[in-house]
Amino acid sequence: MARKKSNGDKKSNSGAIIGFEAKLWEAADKLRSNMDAAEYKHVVLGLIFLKYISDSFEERYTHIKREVSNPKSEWYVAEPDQQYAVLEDPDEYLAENVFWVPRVSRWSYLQAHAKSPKIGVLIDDAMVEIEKCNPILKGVLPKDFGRASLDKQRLGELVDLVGGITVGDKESRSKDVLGRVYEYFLSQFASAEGKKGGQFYTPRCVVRILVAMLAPYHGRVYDPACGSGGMFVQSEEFVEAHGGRKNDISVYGQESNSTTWRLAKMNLAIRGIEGNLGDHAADSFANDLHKDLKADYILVNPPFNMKDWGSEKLRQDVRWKYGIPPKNNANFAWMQHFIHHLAPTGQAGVVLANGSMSSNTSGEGDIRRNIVEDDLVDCMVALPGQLFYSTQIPACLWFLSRDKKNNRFRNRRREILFIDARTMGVMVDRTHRELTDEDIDRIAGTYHAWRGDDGAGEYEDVPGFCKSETLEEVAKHGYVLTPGRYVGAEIVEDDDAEPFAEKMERLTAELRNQILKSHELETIIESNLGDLNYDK
Amino acid sequence: MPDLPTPQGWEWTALSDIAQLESGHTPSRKHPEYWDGDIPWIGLKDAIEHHGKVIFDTYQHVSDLGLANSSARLLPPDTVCLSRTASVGYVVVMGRSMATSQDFVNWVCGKKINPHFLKYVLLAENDALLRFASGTTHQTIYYPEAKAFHVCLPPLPQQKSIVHILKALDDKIELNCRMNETLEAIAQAIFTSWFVDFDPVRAKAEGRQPEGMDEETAALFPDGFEVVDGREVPKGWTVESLDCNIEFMNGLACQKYPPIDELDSLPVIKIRELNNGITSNTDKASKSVPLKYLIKNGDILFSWSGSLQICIWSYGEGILNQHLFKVSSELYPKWFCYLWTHHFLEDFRSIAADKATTMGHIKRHNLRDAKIIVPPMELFSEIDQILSPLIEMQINNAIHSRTLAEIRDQILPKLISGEIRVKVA
Repeated sequence: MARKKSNGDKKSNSGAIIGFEAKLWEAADKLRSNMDAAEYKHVVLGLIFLKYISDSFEERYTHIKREVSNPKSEWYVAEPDQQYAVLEDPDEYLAENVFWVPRVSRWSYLQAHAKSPKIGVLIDDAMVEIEKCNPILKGVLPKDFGRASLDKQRLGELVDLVGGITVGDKESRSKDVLGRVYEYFLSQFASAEGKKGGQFYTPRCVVRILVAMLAPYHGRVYDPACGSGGMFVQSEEFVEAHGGRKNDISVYGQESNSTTWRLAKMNLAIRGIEGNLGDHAADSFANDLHKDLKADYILVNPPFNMKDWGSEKLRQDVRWKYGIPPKNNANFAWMQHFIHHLAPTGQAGVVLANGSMSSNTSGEGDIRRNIVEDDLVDCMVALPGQLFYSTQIPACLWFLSRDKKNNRFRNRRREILFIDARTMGVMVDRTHRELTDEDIDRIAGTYHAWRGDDGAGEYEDVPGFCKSETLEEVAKHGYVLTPGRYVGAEIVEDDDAEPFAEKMERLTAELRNQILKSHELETIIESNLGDLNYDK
Repeated sequence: MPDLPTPQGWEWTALSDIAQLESGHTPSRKHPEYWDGDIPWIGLKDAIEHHGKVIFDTYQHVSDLGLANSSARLLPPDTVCLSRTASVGYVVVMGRSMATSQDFVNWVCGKKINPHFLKYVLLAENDALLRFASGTTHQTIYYPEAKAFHVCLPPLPQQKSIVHILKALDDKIELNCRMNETLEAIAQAIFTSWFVDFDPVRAKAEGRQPEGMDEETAALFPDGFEVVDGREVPKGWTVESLDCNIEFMNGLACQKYPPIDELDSLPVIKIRELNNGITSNTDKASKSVPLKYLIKNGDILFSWSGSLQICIWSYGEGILNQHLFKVSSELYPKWFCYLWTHHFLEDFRSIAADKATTMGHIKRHNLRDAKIIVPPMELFSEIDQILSPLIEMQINNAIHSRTLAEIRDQILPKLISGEIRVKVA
């Protein structure tokens, strides 16, 4: 499912890299000068989005123009004003899922004014006009490019830079390129913002492992803490990479932070994904925008160990089937929210803080026991540390399955697969680790073999890496789900590779030499010290 | 430097006149292509681990490109390196061409000075070097100071004789260390084959003669298995908990026993001492602690928290601190206690690593859950004759090394200053 890599592409997972994104980022970062990364993010991403919808508009425009002026085409229109009318008819665009872009919002128009001091205001107007013409984008686009604090010369240079984003090869359309640039920039902003960056961006390799494990081919995909929408983008990529169509899955999401929600809306639009993220940003606990949704796949990275999640108002909620979550930690409120939204054969992949696997405080242990005893937990994966921008602590993945007897796979009731991936991954810089393609393939392949996917091969316990365990055994461990407890210690193989007899032969010869050498040295030392006259 | 009279024939020289001073540098970490090349690159960690020794390889390596794009230079073998910042005073000699970080001052020795002699001078003058270091947060020896170093040198032949004496001691210490690794590996191999893999029993069950033992010993092994407590063990052997007949005695909180005076004090053995032995940083406590906490050479010590480790103590008398177990048994020989505990070390480490708390540790019940296999007594005494000497020799070597190190430390300053004169061989 990885995209074709170009030569010299080292970091295949940190975003869809094709080299030039990095260069582009460098250039964009230079123009940032002393602006806060969190603020600059909206400026840059807004412009990329504008360029994207303008480009797709132009592409459609050229296409229609060719058709209407070609006498052989069934769309042929003879009269020039009639041609114009067709070209300027918004429906011709919306029908093809292309946003209608009014004249003042087209990139060519803005590019022409890039050097003007009014460029900020012009961009704001462009955004307003687009929103007017496309209700689906209402309230989504950033509109404060005209503010005094934004250096207009820099902004002009940025317009030039984004305008210069060209298509690498003829096959890939500019839309795809912009989509990738958008995602790459998201990841870079997440890194630049550090701790706060984790709120809107889940590292690509973590998203990829969730997608690879669950393999969401078709059905409803739900992320109630969707951030900038990375889970959906990856799910769609997965579907397309496996010969499916975008429409095979439908996307439902929710995000509580309104600026992040806008990033997500743009991210989906730029990828041509039709998703339901609700009409506004909202908190999934207090204001569930998809109350009746039963999802086939839930992929989610909720905030870790969230403290104030508004529990007091929700004491009697229908979602708390396995116990009332503690008021100072939302981990098990999230968990039960997900379970509540799972369809009868639905599956979920959840990123949570490690504490969720073993905590026994404030009733969390009881909730976990109830969830385990209800046979919802399918697989647990312990991740290495330093994967996230927001925190250095290691996290884990929970995979839930509503129906573990589901005949798509092997009947695995009252069994849990434990995978310990703590030693996997490579450091990509001083503070960040990434899982490699091989790591992801190995983890997902192990799960698929265990659950009995077609063609996934035979599953086998591997000491130190994976273990299939019964609920009885898990109960004996007090329902602690830490994989390290179950997988045991890795067998160091090279030690055993040498047969006992040969090993002893080698070691004995070594010892014999050392003893000989030892005698030699003893003689020398004795004689040396004798020379110093201390041996009397 | 020291205000001793200059011995006859010796001469004070500016070090920079007879050795070329070189600095080091760190290639940019932003360029992965600068790293993981073929050129060893000495960092502080390397120097600390190889203090006073010749170094042949390092933790990190740089590439030709990395070297070209930094002010680090490739220095020839026999270059003497002194750490000059953060951890000041560690000395190593390059065994092959290497580069260093900027944490070092390096001397490429000319014809008038033997590199090993320079190494011993730097070792002998360690305290003086620390006085040259300045800076509040990071003690640093700056290059101008390093340039100003003077050494009092005897003629080259005499340098070589002095080096010869000291180096023989160091070589023997190093050899003891390697010999102990071999002895340990032999003991482990035999133990694993006989007690874990049951190779001799398997051989007999298949009608073969067990490898590597005489017929008398082979006769003591059974020729089949039986199931005890759900596991397959050699016929007549028993299964028990690790802590059933082996005592794991926890140390005590030594701060409750402050020493009254120097005479009353003994070093406190903590996890750090398991690694580094007794150093000037080692705490002291009063001898009046209950007798059972007094540790002597040859005792097995096992740290059950932090980085779990097991070792046989060889740094002389001391007091056992908490977080360390003394492992002993009235019934079993030392090797049996040591090797079985060692066998479970990896398991214990992974249990400790799973603890969510900051410092991982194991609990008593983990010892109880660890099951060991015990052979019948007549076989025990036979195997004891084979394994006991392997362990005893290790202890003996380690103690021997301490003595050698003490002798070296005593004569080093005297040889280097010319206070003791050596005949030129």
